[in-house]
Amino acid sequence: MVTNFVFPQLLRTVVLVAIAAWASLLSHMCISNFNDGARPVFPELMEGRMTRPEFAVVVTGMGFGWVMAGFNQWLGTGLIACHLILIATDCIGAWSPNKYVALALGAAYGLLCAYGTQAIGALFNGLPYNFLNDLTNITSPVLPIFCMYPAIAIAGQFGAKKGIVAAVVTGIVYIFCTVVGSVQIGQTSMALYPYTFAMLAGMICLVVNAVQASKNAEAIETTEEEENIFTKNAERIKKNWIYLCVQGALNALGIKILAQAYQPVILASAITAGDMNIFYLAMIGVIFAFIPLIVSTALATGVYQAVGLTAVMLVGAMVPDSMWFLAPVAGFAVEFIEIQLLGLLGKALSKFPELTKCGDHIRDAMISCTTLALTIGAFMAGNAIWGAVGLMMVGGFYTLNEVTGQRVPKSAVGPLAAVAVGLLYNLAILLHIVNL
Amino acid sequence: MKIECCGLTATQTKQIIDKDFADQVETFVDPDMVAARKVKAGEMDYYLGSCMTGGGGSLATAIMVLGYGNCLVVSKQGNCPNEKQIRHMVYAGNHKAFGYVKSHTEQVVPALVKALTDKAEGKPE
Repeated sequence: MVTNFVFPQLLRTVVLVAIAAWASLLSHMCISNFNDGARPVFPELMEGRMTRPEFAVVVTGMGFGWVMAGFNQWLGTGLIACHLILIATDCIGAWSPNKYVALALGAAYGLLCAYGTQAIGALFNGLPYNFLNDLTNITSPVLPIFCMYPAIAIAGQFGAKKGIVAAVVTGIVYIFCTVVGSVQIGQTSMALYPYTFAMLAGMICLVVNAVQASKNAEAIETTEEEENIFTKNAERIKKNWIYLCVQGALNALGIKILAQAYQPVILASAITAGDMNIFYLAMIGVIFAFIPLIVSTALATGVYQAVGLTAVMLVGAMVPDSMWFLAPVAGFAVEFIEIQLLGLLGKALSKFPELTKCGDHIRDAMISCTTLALTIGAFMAGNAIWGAVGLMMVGGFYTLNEVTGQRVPKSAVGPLAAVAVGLLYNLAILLHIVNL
Repeated sequence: MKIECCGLTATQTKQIIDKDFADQVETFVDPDMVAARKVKAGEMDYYLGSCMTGGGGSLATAIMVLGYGNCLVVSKQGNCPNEKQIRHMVYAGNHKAFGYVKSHTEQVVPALVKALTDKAEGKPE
């Protein structure tokens, strides 16, 4: 859990409010939204096939679960996730009758998140037994398990045998790095961060496999009709560049000062481990994995992704702390470049559909790994709070949710159960069932 | 009947259909873009896709190629319909593409394909 923020609370709140207000405005104007799933619905509103309320209902229906997931991520990491902010601003913008309402409601929501999470944190502090520290366990298995995502993606796309090879390579590299520790290059000693290099090894395996496979893949030609749609929508996105670049700048600043966090589970683990390289490396994988989905939905609709191709998050985070004011500049520039490249990326993707498939498998592998890690972490947290009773409750919640049709998303049920354990433990203390 | 299996659980979807409907349905696993075009061209009958939310990545390409009106979100995160509800959805509409949450694959696919094949054979709902 991240508790020591480098940048002051007030600055983070102001930036968060700006991010939320701007994202809400852009969602209202159908310029960008965060939920890739809801993006294909935007043309229904833009082209008048749906009224605004109808549209807003669909967008909200698709988003609700994700806002919950975002809140969950805050519980385990102490960071305000993009999902908590931007999915909600999608919906706020969709409901807003005009631009000013969109801006105002967006800003109000940003304020609510900044102070709401603080208030809940304070509430936890006031409990007889503050279990917020125990909840940190939720994210502790994330890095070890997440390192395996390239191997899982390989297994999914190219078969179990190649996946196992990659997994073994990843494991060996990890152990090698822990044994050797650091290497001396000339005057400087370079620390071999085990997770970073293990994941890097896995990603190299993934690239090797993908390159081999793409040699056999056949290219397909796009039809004229699709070309026209692509070009028209690419032009629409380019025309909105100033709005989008401001959004890119805000996002980059937001992640730099941790006003909001993208991939918060990995980011928090990286901050706690004191090795930001693992986050940078993970982000490269994330960017690659999301490009097919974001580019194809953006070009199909003319509505861009609120965090772009997520590259603004990488460059924003990479700006050194002392130069934090450069983060928005970098974000602005990167977003601008992305927008210019969009048409080109779209052509490449439709020509080589295997790339899209590759992205699907990587995203699937990443999600499988984090879901598993958060579930295991929730068991560990439950155990830390209340021993066997905690394990029993988390296990009970988890399996109950499975058999009743997963009413709570799989990645959220464990952490929520762990919070329930903490609250019940406090209740038990108050009732003198257990003594501290 | 020819069905394209796409999305995050394409392989699992194909396995389920091949096991339960081997004599009625032919399955294919093409990339989204290829699959959606084949459905549009009439080479394939239906497009099945899964993603994290049911309505997102699973149907994005299908919506773009086939149009929103031809696509149906079958299951959403936290809300998986039962066999009867799925059957009703299939019979009530005339959709070409179906999206569902990846973790609902086992529940949704058998009911969905059963409804599609029954409907094609003219059996009542």
